[in-house]
Amino acid sequence: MIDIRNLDITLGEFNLRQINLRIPEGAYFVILGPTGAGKTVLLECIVGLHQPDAGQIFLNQQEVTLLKPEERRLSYVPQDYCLFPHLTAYENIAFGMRSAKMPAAVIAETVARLAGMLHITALLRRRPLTLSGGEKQRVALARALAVRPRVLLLDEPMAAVDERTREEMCEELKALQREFGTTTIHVSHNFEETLAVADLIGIFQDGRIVQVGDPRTVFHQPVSEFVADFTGARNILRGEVKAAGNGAVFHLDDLRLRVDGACPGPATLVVRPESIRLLADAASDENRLCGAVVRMVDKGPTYKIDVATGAVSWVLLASKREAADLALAPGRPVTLDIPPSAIHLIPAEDQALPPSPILLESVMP
Amino acid sequence: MAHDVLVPATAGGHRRDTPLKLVLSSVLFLYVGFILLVILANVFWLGHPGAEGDEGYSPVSALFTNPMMRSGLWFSLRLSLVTTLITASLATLLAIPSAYALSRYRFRLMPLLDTIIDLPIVIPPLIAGLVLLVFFRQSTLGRFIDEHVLNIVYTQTGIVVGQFFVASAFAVRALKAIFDQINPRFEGVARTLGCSAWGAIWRVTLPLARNGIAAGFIMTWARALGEFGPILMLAGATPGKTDVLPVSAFLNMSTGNVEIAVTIAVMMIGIATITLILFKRLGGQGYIW
Amino acid sequence: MYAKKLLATVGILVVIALLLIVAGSSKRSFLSRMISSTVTGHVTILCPTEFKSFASVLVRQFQVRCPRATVELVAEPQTALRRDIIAGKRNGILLTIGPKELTPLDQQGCLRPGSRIILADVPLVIIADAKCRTGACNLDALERQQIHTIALAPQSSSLGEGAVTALQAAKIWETVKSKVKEYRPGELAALVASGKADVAIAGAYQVSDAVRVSHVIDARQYPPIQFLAVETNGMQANPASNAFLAFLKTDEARAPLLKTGLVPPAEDHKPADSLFLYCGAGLRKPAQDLIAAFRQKTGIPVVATYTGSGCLLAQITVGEEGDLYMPGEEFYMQQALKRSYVLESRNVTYFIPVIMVAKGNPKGITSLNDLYKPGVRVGLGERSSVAIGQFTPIVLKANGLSYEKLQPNVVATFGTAPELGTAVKLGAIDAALQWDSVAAWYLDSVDVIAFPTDDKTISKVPLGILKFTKHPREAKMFLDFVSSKEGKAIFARNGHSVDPAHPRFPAAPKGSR
Repeated sequence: MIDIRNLDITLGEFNLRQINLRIPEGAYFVILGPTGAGKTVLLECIVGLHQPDAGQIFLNQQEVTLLKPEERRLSYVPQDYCLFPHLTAYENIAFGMRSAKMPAAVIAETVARLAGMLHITALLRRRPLTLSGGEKQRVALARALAVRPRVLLLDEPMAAVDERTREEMCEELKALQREFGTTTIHVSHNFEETLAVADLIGIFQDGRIVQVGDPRTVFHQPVSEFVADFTGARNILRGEVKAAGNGAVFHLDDLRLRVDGACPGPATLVVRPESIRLLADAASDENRLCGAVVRMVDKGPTYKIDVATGAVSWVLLASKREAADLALAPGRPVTLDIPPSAIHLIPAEDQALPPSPILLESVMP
Repeated sequence: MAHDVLVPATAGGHRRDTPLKLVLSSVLFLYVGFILLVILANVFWLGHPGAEGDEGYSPVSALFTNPMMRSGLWFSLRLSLVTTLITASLATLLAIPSAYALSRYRFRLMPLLDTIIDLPIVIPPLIAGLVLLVFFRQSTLGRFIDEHVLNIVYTQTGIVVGQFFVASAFAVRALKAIFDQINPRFEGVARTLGCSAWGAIWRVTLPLARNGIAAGFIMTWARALGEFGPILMLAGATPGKTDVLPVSAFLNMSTGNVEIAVTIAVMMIGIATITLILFKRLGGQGYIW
Repeated sequence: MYAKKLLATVGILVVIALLLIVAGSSKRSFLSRMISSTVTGHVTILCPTEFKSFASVLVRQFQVRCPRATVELVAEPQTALRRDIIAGKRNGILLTIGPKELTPLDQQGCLRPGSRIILADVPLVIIADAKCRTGACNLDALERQQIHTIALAPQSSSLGEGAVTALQAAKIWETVKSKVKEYRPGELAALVASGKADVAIAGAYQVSDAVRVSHVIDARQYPPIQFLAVETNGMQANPASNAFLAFLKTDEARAPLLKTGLVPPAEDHKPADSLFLYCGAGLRKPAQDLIAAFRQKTGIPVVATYTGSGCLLAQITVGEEGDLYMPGEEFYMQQALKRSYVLESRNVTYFIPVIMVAKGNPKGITSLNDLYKPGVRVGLGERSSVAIGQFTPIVLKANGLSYEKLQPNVVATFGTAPELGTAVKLGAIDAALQWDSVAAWYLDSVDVIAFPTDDKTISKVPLGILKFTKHPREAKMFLDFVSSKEGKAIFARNGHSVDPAHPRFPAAPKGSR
């Protein structure tokens, strides 16, 4: 289990303030944030390559803040994998075990086993220079896992990997992590990749952690407009909630949407694109809006559709089949169904940074 | 669609060298040719015919046939090789940690450090020798070292000190460039895998810097071999004791033995050629990181 | 983190280095503790009247160092002092010449064993009158008829005994015995000055302004004569006396003694493993032969470094070590003398300027005038850096020619004499003004044209003993050797003109121009 308390560090232009995190044993934790926010610095702090200006780091109840990297028993796979160029893949993987002066037979056996699990047995004799991005990543993983670390730290592992391989790798990673049970911290800027692997997500913005939670919570209940935007909830509208009858209604210009359990006051409305339903008939109703298709962007398996309803513009997704069934095309009138359950509200006062640090109390499912 | 007639560029059908390529290549050959001709003129010089019916002799052949010249020159050659090897080794040994610190650690006075390291190269060699002599004989610390720790002035040790002073900066520069190229993350990763800080440098950074270390060694060695000024001032020009090849050439020039001086020149050209070939072979293997 | 460790290591190294520096000013610091200004006590200094001035200088210097100690200086005639010490009436530290003078005291057990400190050695010299009428420039010369009286110190004294031994070693004792008259040591110089004696053999410190030293006798020819300090047995050691003894061991105490012609004690010398000679590059050939011959004769090796004379002077100035200096030109020796680096210097050979031309003399040069002919490419030495360069204007002027008017023909100037020669040999210039011995190296590829010269246009090559020498005796031996007949022969063999009257390249007589 990893416990980071009030970590502060300034390194060059990066300024991390008041980082608080508690990651349970065996969890797959993803730090999600835009590039340049300082995620690598945080990772390297946990590894021990940088000394924090303030704060403490605990690994399994043991304080490691002052320990050297070689004493912390964690493994780090940097963004460019950093495979030792002067050694073969085999020697790279064996590096940690050789440092620990383990017997050759044990080393050979471990390397063979890991190579099998990661499907790189054929590559063992080759040098890193001759490997592709995906192959390098696997070798780097094997090297990291060979020393049985308490924690595995991965810095943007999928950055150099193509789309197809990425899916595959995400699945494999997750499977591996389950098998080894190693607590893993994975840094990413891509939320699709995050969804594929994460048990828990921490959103990282400008040197601070702004939200921590399981993927569902983070994605459907973002705590700030930034989080909402970053996780791909494209429909973010600022307006006002007014009490009405037995509930509340969100007002923005001529838009009225019924919302559940919200306090009156200025608020931001967040609706994920995939939560909006497209209807063919034009009947307007509570939480049903009439509008017309403005633009359709081909996203491969889906279309991203911009729909204008009155003064407000919505972004939603429709599968190709749906689009064909509804004969969607720019200009076609459509009706959007946005049930209250699909609506998430962020009260205005929560917009101002810094938000209070959030400690994660939940336990692994 | 109209057929476009494809017009061949030249009658011969193959691509001619452009004028630009010709001009640039000519400059290169002129430059190389000049150096080569100067060297060959000396290698094949027949010396001056003597008055007493003495035929001119090729200095190069005299090297192998004249026993007196041979013993003197072989001594100089041995002395040169031994001292320069010691200098280059010392310089490289000191340069590795120095260059590492320069490259990896941030010092507030970095520009000043950089400048000081380069100073011995920029000072004219004869002045460098004078400067060293002043240090070892006029300053308290220097005098103490010379009299009580290690006799340096006018000894063979002085040869090494003089060479070291002016040539070691090359090793530092070469190694700093190499360390700059090696990603510090390698060491970080090595440490997470269980290496100590020293272990990471020893097992990862140094093997990666291998070629740079060799390059630094050879550059220092080459500069030290040709060094004359500091040795003259600090170690003196004593035949049979402190006359490395350049000093031997000077001594012979100063007594009119031009032939011997040219022989030495040819010897040094030979050594330089062998070194450079070796260097290229080493360099050819590496620099793939 | 790691940078801090590095800094710490460097810091420790710096501290160690500083400690070493402090420790290194060592020898002195231990003694200085004994001679500090807090020393108290009383010490008596005894000396024969002859040495009163020496002793008072020492006492005065000591008092400055230890103002709180009281010092009494007792100067008595030699015999009276001896009597008093034996009788036990006088006790203290005795400063005197020896060792012969101390034997009677030793026999009576008056001197504390092991307390003898040698302050300096006393060289024996031949003193002659200021003009040296009698030409007594070595021991052999004493046999000459012009010398009627040789004044010596009594044979019971170290000086006298040493003089007799030296004369015996030179195998002339029997012949000069009759000329010898013994006098009190203090009178020897006055006797020569007044003419009562033709020469005297005395200690180097006894030379006065009215006389001069004509010869320093080879120290190997007589037993060592020393200026000593010794404690009497009856003296009570106290901080002041210990301080005085410690003071006597310092360089500061010995400096005034050395100024009067005494030399540092031989015992202090490390045995001469070798002498170090700074030699002008142009003199390398004869120097190597001289060194080899000297080694064969005396077993003492000489290590020489060869560079331009000016550069050598710079090395001497900065290096402050070495035994001998032989520059290519008197001018440099004068510089060295001006800076007080040289103890003794003699001219050992000569450089006579000649004209060097290409073999076969294609431009038909027969005299200095021909250098001014149009189309003659002339090379000269650089005026400021090389002896021949300096000399050229002098030579030209002496022959009624102008240095400036030669300039149009001068195509290049060179920093060393050999460079000049090489230029003629390789055909870069047609003619050069060069030293005869240097020109001689190139005889197989050049021709030499000589012209008449005189004392003003000849360069003298000096050899001098440096004041930094740690082996003055051996350095003196080398100087003597080089200026001896044997040394001159070696120079001649190497093409030098050792006698200006008989130059290597005789000039055609003036009339034949």
